[in-house]
Amino acid sequence: MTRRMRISNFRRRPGPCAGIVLAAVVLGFLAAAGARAATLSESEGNSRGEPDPLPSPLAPFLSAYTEGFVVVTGAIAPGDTDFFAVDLAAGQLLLVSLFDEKGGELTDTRVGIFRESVGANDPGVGPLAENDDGGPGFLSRIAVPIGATGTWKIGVTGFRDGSYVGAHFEGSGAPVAYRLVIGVTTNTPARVESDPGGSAPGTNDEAPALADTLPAGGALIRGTLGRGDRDQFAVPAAAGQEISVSLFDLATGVLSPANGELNDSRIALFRDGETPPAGTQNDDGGPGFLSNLTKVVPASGGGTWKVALTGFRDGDFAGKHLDGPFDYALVVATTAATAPVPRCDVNGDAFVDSADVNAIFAVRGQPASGPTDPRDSDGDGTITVLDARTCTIQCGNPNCAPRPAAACGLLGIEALAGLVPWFAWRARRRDAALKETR
Amino acid sequence: MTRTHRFLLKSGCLALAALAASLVALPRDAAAISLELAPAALSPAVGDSFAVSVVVGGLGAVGSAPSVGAFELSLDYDEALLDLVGVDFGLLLGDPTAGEAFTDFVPGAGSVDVAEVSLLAAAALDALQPASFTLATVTFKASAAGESVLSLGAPVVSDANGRALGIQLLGSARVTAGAPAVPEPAALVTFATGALIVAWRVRRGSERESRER
Repeated sequence: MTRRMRISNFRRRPGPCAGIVLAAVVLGFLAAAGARAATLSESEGNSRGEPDPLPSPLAPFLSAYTEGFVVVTGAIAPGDTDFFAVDLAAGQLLLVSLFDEKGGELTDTRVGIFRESVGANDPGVGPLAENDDGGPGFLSRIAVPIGATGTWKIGVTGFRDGSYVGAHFEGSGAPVAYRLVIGVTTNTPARVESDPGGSAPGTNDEAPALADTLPAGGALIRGTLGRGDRDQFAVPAAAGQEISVSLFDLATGVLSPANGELNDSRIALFRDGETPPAGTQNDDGGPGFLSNLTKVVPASGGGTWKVALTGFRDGDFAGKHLDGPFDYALVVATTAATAPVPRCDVNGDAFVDSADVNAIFAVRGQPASGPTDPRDSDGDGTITVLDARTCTIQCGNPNCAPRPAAACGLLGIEALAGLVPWFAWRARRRDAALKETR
Repeated sequence: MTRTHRFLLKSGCLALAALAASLVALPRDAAAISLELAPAALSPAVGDSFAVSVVVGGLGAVGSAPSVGAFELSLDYDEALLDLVGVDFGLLLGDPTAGEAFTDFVPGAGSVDVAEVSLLAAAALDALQPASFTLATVTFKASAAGESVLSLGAPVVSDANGRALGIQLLGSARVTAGAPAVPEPAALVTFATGALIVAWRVRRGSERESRER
């Protein structure tokens, strides 16, 4: 009886030992998560069966990224698929935006959201949700309500690659650098604009000077855009950094995307002290009629930048519009510029093939010449067989076969050349007939 | 509870806490594979050639990851006892003669660097490779009598996507080279006896011939 009582007491009151262990576990999580910046690089070679965990080791997304988002820099090349694993909770809303340097003019992507075990690699299982051209140009953008707690995977590939196995040729010639902004918001968002839906004096509606201040690196903000309302936000950005802004509208009363089908917005990005229409604007970057934009801060432009949101008709950002009210999630992310590093193309012929792989393989063990050495594909400072193998994934042809020599630019009418003698014979015959007639 | 008991309990708790925290903060390791030399023991005669295989294990079965996309390792040996003859690569990272892989080996002082990178796609490698196979076979010639240990150094093995696989080294190989084969004493005795008999008979025959004359 005494023994049972003791056990019972222990269960009810864990005691100092359990407390210390629990605190250590929490500290372990914080140490594991807190050390990570909000901008990460993909580990090339990440695939559906071996996604990059965000954070690594995998932990609840919002416990690691308290501002609600993370930016992953990566590159897409022929045959390459990039996958990222995130731990999400039921009821959250996942927001994924893809940006590149050319505004999606030359690169056509596909983004898929998968619910399967981390190591699963079955091309027969399709994504639960996916998007092709929802973002700027041919880039992808998607918002997905999370229905079950657990690990979800985000896949990035070329638009032709519906099975997410790398069957595409996006990035042919040279890999295309991208920024993947992954945001997560909940019914109790961490950051809400100061004047949701309103246009009261002295609020972020009135003047850029009254903009809501965001932390360095940016934030995910929830708000409401009402009729005649403007919302303005200030974010610090250093010269050379990229500012990426993506807007998602939400269905009324529920945490679910409305996909920009009914709400038409306009966004401006301008320096402190300026007033729109100065700066950069975007109307329908996507999805739907929603806006998004990205900009590299010029060399002399370091400091505070402002993001203004209004209705699409309000080109002067004076609040003259009838859009709304609608709820939104706005992700403002500042990251180091991602100038594409031409990895793997050692001979500089704008095509990765066996000659490049062989050139890397031949100098394995040597130090890289610098951070932009195309032979050091993983950027660890040493050229190894890992770099050689990584570059085989970026080859433009199967088995890294060389690019075939460019064919002559024939016009397609050359086949008619064979008919020239017949035309000549016919003309001669006609002439002869005419002579006979005369 | 005495002060000593409390101290011990506290120390135990702190140790447990440190263990729990470190386990939580540990990064996720890549899948571990094994590398070993086969056979583990050899006894060639001086002058004989012999082969040692580098065997990888712990991969996925045929059709599943992980598979090997590239590797580099050094095989260390006693150059006073062994001479390197050559290195053969298998076909499970692709056929080098068909342009499906690059291979290379660089002999050094008492070691040989062996490397291969496959140009095949990840799916093709998964379809090709079983859970365990020979990465390369190194052939030596025993040049002097004695014992040499063959060991693997600084191995790097990449999966099909160019990511390093964790490696567990499963021991080394032991080569005991002996003196070349010489006629045994018993055979010498038999030979000498036979020679004596033949000589005795030849002598006896010649004596008989001279007597008859």
